Amino acid sequence: MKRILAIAWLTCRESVRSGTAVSLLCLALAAVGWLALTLQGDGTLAGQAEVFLRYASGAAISILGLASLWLGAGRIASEVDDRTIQTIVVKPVRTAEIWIGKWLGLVLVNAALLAAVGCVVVAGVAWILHRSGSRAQQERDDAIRRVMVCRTPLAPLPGAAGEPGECETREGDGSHDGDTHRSARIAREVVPPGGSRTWTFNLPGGSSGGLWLQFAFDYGSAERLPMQGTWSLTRPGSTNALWAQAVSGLSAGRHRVEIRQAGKLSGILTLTFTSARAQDTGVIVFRPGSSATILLGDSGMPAQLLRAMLIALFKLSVLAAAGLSCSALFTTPVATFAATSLAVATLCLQYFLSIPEGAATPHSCSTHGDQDDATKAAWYQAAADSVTRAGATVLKPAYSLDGIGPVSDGLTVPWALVGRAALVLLGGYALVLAALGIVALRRREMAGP
Amino acid sequence: MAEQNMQTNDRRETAIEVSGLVKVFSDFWHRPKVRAVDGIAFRVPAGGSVFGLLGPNGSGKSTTIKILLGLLMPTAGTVTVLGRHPRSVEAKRSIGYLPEESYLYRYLTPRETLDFYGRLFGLDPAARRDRTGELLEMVGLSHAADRPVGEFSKGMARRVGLAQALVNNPSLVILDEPTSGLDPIACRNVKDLILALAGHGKTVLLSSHLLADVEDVCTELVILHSGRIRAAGLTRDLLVRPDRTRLTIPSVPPDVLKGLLADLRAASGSDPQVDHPSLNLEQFFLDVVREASRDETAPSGASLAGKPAGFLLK
Repeated sequence: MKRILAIAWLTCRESVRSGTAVSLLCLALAAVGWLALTLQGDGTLAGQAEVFLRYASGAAISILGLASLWLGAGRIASEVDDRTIQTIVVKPVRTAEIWIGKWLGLVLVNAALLAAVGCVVVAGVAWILHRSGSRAQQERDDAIRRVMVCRTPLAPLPGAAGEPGECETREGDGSHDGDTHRSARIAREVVPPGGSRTWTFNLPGGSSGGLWLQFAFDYGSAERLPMQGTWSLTRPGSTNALWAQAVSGLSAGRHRVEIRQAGKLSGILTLTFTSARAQDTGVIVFRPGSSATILLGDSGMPAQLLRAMLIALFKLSVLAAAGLSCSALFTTPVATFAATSLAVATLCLQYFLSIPEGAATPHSCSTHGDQDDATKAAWYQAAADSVTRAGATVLKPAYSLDGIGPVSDGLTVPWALVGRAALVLLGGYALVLAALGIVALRRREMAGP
Repeated sequence: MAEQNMQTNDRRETAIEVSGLVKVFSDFWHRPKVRAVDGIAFRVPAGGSVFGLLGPNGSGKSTTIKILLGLLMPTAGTVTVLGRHPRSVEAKRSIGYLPEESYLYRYLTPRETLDFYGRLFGLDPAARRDRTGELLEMVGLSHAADRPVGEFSKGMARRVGLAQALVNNPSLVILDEPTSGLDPIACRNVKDLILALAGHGKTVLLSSHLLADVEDVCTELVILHSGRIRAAGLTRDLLVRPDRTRLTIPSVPPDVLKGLLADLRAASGSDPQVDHPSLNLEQFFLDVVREASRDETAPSGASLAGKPAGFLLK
C-alpha cells in the first residue's frame, strides 16, 4: 500500500507542477462561468438555475472525462518513452502497484477538480437565484425552495396488470383500451378534453418537509394547446378533495406544483387530473414512466450534488482506467488514438441507446444488385448490429447511472445509487480494465535497444 | 537437504549468473532486426567484487544490464540475480541501479526524488529523511536539494541518479556508464565510492567504455564486442605483462644510474627504459581544484562531494 500511495503521490504532484491540473481547472471553470452568463432556461428563474445546474455540471464533467482519458493514455506510455519508468520498475514494486498507483493518482486529481467544480456550480446556482434583477421576490423565493432543495420521488402504486402506475382513464362515455400492451400503456396516458386520469399513492407518515407534485406531459394534438385542468388529492372512495389546484397555460414538459394543505397527508391517496378543456380542443399525453410523481422530504441540493459528483468521479475513474490500460498496451500516440476512439465509440453507442427501440435499425441496403450483393449487405448489417448490440449490452449499466440529472430535476440521489455506481463502475468496469492493463504492463518490455 | 543448502550457499556467493544469454530485437511484425547479445555467459561473485562490462558503443553492455534488471526479456538463456529471477521483487530489494542517462522526474526536487524512491523500498520516514540528507551531502547537492531536477545540468542530474541508486543500501549496485557527464572531481569521487562500497562487501557491476574507469576500480571484467564476449578474467591477470619488470627507485647520481643500467643491460640483454614518473592529469587537476575551492563560498552548481554516506558503510 505504501508503494501504491507513493506512486499516486508522484502522479498528483506531477499533474499539479506540470500545470495540467490547473489548466484543466481553469478550462472547466471557464465553461461553468460561460454557461452561468449565457444560459436562459425556460424563462423562469428556477428553470434557468436548473438548466445551469445540469449543463454546467455536465460540461465540466465532460471536460474532465476527456482529460482523464488522455492523461491516462499518456501516463505510462510517455514514461516508457522517456524511460523514467525504468527507475520505478527496478525497485521492488509489482506491476499491479504501478498501475494502481498511477490510477489512484489520477482519481485523486479528478476528485480535487470535481470538488472545486461542484463548489463553483453551487455558487453559480446561488448567484443566479439571488442576483438582483427584475424578478419578483415571490418568484425568487419559490425558485430557491425549488432548486436548492432536493426531494425523494414517490412512485404511484403499481397497477393490477403490473403497469408502473395504477391508472384509469375515462373518456366521458366509456373506457379506452389499446390493441397491444404498449399501445395500451400509451393510451392510458392520454387525457382527452373533459377526461381525467388517476394515480394511487401510499404516502408514508412522519415525513418532514413539504410535498410537491411533479408531472410531465406532451401535446397530444396538432393544436399544441397548453394544459388546462385541475389536480386534486382524495381518499379512495371519497369525493372530498384534501387538496386541489387548478393549472392553466402550462406548456409541454415537466412541471412541479407544491401541495399546500392544512394537515399532514399520509396513507393511500388518489391523485386525479381532470382536463378542463372543451370537447375537441386539445389532448394531452402524460409521459409514460414519469407521468406524475409525488416528491417528499427536504434535503439540501449541495449535499445531493456531492453524491452526484461521487458518481461522476466513479465514471471519470473508469475513463482514467481505460486510458491507462491503452497506455500500458501501446506507445503514446497509439494509446491516445485508441483512447479517443474508445470515447467516440462510447458516445456513439450512447446515442444509439437513446433512440427508441425500432427507430435505431439502420436502413436496409438496396437490393438492386444480384442476390450475392444482397446477402453480403445483409450479413454486414447483421454483423454491425451484433457489434452495436454487444457494445450496448456492455455499456448500458454505466449509462443508466446518472447523478447530475436527478439533482438538476430537484430529486435526491440515494446512497443506494451511489453504492450501485461504485459496484458497477469501480468493481466492474475499472476492475476489468485494471486486469487488462496490468497483464499488458507485465508483458511489456520497459526499455528499448 | 544438504544438496539444497549447498545450492543456497552457491547462490549467495554468486551475485549474478548469466548463461547462454541471447537478445534479439524485433520490429513491429516480430521479424528479427538486431542481435544485440549473442550467447554470452559470465558469473559475478558476491561480496566485495567490482565487475566491469567493457566494450565499444553498441556492444551489448546496456542491453545485458537491462536484462539483468528485468527491463528487457531475454530471447534465450538464463539469468539469475542474487539467486532469483531478474523480475523478482525480492531480488530488487537488494539492487541499486544507475541508468546510463538520469531518467528522473523533472518536477521533483532531489530531496523529494530520494524520498519517493525510499518509499518504494518501504523505508520509514525517519530513515528516509536521514538517508536523503546523507546522500545529498555525499553527492554534493545539499545546497540544491529543493530545486526541481528539471533545472539541473546533466552532471547534477547524474549525481541525483547516483544517490537514488544507493538509497536502499543495496548489496548489488549496477552502474551503467557511472561517470558519464560528470566532471573529473565527481568521476574520482564516484570511483572512490565504488571502491568504498566494494570494501564494505557490496558487489558492484559497472558498464563503461572509458577504459581508465574500469582499470581503476574493476577487479574482474569482460570485454564485449558485437554482443559476444571477446575477453574475460581478473583485471590484473589480463593487464599484467609477465615478460616485463618495472623498477622504481629514488633519484640517484648519474654515475650510479649508469652503473645500474649497465648491470641491467648485461642481465636482460636489452636496453632498459629510464624516465621520471609523473602525476597523471586527473590527480594534477584534482589538486588544483581542491586548492581553488578553499576560497569558494556559495556554489551555484554541485559542490565538491563529501565522503560516502555513513549508512552505506555499515
